[in-house]
Amino acid sequence: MGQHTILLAEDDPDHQALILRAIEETGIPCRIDVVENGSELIDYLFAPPQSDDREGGGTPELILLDLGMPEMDGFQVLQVLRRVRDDGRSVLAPVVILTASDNADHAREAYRLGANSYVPKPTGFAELTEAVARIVKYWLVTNHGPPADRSDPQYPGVQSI
Amino acid sequence: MLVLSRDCDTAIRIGPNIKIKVLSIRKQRVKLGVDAPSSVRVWREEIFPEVAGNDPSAQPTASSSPRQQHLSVLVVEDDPEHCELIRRTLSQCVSSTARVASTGKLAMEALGGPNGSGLVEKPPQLVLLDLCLPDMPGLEVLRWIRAHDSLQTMPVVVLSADHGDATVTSCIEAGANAFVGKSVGYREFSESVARIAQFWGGYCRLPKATLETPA
Repeated sequence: MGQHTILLAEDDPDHQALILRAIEETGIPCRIDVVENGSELIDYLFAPPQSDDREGGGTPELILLDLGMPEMDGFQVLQVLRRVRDDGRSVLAPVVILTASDNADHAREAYRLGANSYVPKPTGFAELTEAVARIVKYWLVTNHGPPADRSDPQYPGVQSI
Repeated sequence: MLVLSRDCDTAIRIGPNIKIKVLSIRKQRVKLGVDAPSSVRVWREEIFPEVAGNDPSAQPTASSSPRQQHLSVLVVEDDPEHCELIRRTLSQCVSSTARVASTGKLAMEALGGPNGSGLVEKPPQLVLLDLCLPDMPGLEVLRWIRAHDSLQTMPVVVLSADHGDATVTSCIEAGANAFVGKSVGYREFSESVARIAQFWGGYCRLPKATLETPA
């Protein structure tokens, strides 16, 4: 107990490194699983693991989602997650958009599609670190997420309620 | 001096595992970040060289860290002491305007509700919603909010003393953006409100308060 799981969807390896380091610096014990595009994220959440390469499985407590990613972008991911939610198949972890775009239309569209929050990546390294720390502390410590149902860890996220 | 092309987006390696990376080029300013393992002490994290340009009006945006935005909040809460605590904490943490509604009906009215003359054109940027209201459950207010297109993107943070799994789940299913338990202690509750204010009023981008034009 005591370890949180964060799922980070981010295709830029440099941003990945900065975000991972920022999370590490918060001192909150976390396991961070990284996926590099939307379809990997959907697989992570809903596909039964093919092998044991994804140790532990489990439902993440927080999803950090980039908008601009190859194959399947953040908006498409939000659409899929919303469909899953509307079908009543699952109550998902909070999704925080963490993106380079500070476009008001993008923000509105993300909220409309069900993102819990939208944080434009600040441009400076120190500010990015601070923003990531605030996100992680707020969503993992202050906020109450949906209860984690670990009854069937083989199929994280797909549970009938 | 460091010379960078306009669309330079590559990192410059300056040592093993240490890179200088262009984070953005905007408004005549280049923002650089140092990407280094935590064992490396970084003395100066940002460098802002002038980029040659002839736009005299371009001035650095004096955005403090984190960027502050004025936050308009609707506080739906019937307990006067909690109201006062929330209002005070909000104003201490961020530049904000808080409007209080002490019942579910007043909350709906504040948004242009059932007997009003139509939904307000500029809804608040954030709603703090207590679940236990004198006239109706807060959950009903939340469902009413989410049933309206123009209020769908307005973030709602539920504040509740009851933070059992079933309550949290039903609020999230009804479209709450976040759920924060009301602590019993005055100080803890005030800290929770402060964290809410700092997160939503800080780095977070809130949807602009605009009405969608009906198709």
